[in-house]
Amino acid sequence: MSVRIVAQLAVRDSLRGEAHAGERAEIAAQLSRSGENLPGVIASHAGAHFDFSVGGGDLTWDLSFESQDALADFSSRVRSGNEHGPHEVMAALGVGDAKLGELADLGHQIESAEFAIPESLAEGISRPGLIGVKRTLWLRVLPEAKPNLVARFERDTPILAAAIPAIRNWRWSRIRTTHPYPMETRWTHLWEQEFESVDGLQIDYMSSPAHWGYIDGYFNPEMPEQVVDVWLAHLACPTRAPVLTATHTR
Amino acid sequence: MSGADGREASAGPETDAIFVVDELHLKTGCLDVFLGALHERYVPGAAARGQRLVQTLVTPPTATEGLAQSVMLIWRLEGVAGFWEMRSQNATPDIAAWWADCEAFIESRTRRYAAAPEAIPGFDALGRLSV
Repeated sequence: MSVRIVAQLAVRDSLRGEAHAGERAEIAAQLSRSGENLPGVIASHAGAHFDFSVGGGDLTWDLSFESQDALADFSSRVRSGNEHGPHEVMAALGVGDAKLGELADLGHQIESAEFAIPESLAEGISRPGLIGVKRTLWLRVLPEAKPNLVARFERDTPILAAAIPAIRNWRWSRIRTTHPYPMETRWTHLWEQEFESVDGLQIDYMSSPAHWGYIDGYFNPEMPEQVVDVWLAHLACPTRAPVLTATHTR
Repeated sequence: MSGADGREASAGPETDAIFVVDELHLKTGCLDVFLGALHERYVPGAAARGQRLVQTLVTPPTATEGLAQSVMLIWRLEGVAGFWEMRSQNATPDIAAWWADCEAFIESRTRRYAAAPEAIPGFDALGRLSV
């Protein structure tokens, strides 16, 4: 059972653009620290996205929990905050705990937030403790996609990790849609990877024939086997601590 | 190498070429109308995206009345960069409408990406630079 939350957060418009990269990095650092103080959280990492990221927010926030109960409590707080608007989510996380005041304050910098619980379909770890680059692909399987093609897509995606050694650690997940979950979201799956550097993602991953010659068929709108909506969130950030193996090193 | 409509492109053995292989199983009697629509509505735009038509084959090779035919289209892309150049431009309403309208002509279709056998080690190596 998954005891993780992955979130993408969008900052206010005034914090966008190259000139504000330092401020976004500072927000990410504050999120990482504050997240460690949340009840039941055993690892918190937030990273500001590289400028080549597209389709989603400005920050990725990864949280690991000590138990399913802690995960459910966090999800409940997110849901209650989200009822009052996306920017209230951060405030709701900080309610009732002075140590979380910084987290509540960060809510003023956040325009929107999407939280998801990844339920692992498959994973691979070849470099525990890696600090480098984390890429999270948020995707939505089309509601009208044929079930046999979706099953094949879910089975085939890990082929990328076999073909591309630059993918050091990876996890392939469905997003939980049954209670308790933090919020309704348009996304159905998460494809997470860790690389040593941006080149592993930008060069090896994009050049691999397993990618463009095979797996991309599930994403390509001209292909009969397309099952994924063309609106993807391709989000990558530098890491300051292990993310996919955060709990392996504790 | 290629005219504006892509019909003259080379299918040569260069090891960076990527080929798009379409197989379309047509409804009986639809060959001429399909090929006409293909060249009017799809080929010019595909060429503009760097996807050039190099071969059109029909099977069975006869126009016998009542016999359904299949068309194989082989297109060429200029390497991995050419592939992503094409992919950055193919999520458009016009292209989606073309394939939706094709259902009037075809029973089913497949599209595959292919390369010359001698090109495969080089392509695989591109994805394994950070071993």
